[in-house]
Amino acid sequence: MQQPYSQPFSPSRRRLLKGAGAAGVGLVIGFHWGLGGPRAMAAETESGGWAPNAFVRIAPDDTVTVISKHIEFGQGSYTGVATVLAEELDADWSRVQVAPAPANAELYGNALLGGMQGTGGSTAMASSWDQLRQAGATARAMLVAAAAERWGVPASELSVAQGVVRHAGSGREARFGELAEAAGRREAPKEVRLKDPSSFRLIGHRVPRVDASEKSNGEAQFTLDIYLPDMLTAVLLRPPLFGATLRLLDDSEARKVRGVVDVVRTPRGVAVLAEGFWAAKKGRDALKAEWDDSAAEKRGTEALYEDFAAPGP
Amino acid sequence: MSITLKVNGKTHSVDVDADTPLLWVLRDELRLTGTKYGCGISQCGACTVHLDGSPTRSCVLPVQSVGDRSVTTIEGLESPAAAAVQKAWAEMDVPQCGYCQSGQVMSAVGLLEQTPQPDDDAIDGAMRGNVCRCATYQRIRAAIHRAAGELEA
Repeated sequence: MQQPYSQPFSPSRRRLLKGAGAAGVGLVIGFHWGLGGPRAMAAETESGGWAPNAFVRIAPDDTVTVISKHIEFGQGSYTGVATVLAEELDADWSRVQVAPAPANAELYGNALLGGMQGTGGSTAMASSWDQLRQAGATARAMLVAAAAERWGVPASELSVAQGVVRHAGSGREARFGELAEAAGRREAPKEVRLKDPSSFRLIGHRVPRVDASEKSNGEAQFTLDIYLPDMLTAVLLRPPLFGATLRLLDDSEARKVRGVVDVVRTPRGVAVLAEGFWAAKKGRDALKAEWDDSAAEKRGTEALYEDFAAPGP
Repeated sequence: MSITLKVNGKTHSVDVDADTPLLWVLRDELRLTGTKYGCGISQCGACTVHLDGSPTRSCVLPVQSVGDRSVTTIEGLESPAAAAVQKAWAEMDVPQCGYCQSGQVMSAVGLLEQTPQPDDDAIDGAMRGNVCRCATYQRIRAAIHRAAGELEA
């Protein structure tokens, strides 16, 4: 599930990342990838809060939130990255959701795109594989250690499946949400053992997409759905020919449209800024523009093909 | 001007130009963003809502012409047909990017409420106006059949 856009970026929510003992504390695992290799970091956060250096958040209600550094635009990256982390965590897939990472290239950069934070070129899974397996395995190890301490048994006697830690010898068990706070107070282990691929239950198996429901009930948030305080809507007038430039503009009628706030020139046209789409569009439609097409592309399809086919110099 | 309209069972008063399309009242005024803007000229179906139960393109419907009719958006769906459609959509991983899917769901629910057991031709006819650039059409058709089966059971 995507979080509302405004929440992860809100300073007031960041300030909630305060110390131990607060009600509803969960476990957050993140990594810095410095010169010395990955260094695990653990922090605590209020349930539903946010930690800027985290790949996974476990809430007291057992919800596992995977923080995706890759955007989801239909290619399934949210499901893919969540699968990798949830596999090593031994999470209950039905309790896994995904939230987008904020802009922070140091934490969420894509090593396969030169370190910039970006999604593309079929790099989402390859750039997440080692990192998210480590993140999941580290969180799992901390949950196991917390349970071992609570029950006074060796960690080696514990097993994890479907978001539950179990001690077969005594029959005791605890859900991730019950262990998250205690796990969050522990030191992260320096090394964790990753699963042998033969024991994968999620990776390589079909799992339901994490975003299917929210994309079927209108909850999924797209760029167009973001409303910020005092935000205006811009609708553009573009020249009829590529490369034409504005010669004359009469925006007097456009400025009379109720809701239109301003008319500004852009490198290739004119933008009408208004309170809401409809006013902006009506304003755009009321613009009177004359274009200088002396430098514009005037060839048609046939001429373009002929030029492409012509031998080069 | 002030216009009163009934959306998802609630009455709202909005101060907008009479020619404002219903879509932009829903999105910009009521912040019901599940209904999407696709083409703005009634060619893609992303803006589909129900008007007294009938699928309607909200991007070209002036809000003043809504009158007393009840508007239902994706946020307000609650019929058995709607539940069956949304369940089938999720189970069969119908959406990819998801942008068109609110409109797809609204058209599919409208179909099943009129024709509980549609055949492929009926599905194709009812869904013809909803474009999906991810080309999820095969899964949409299969999910409608599954939802119809669930409603029959």
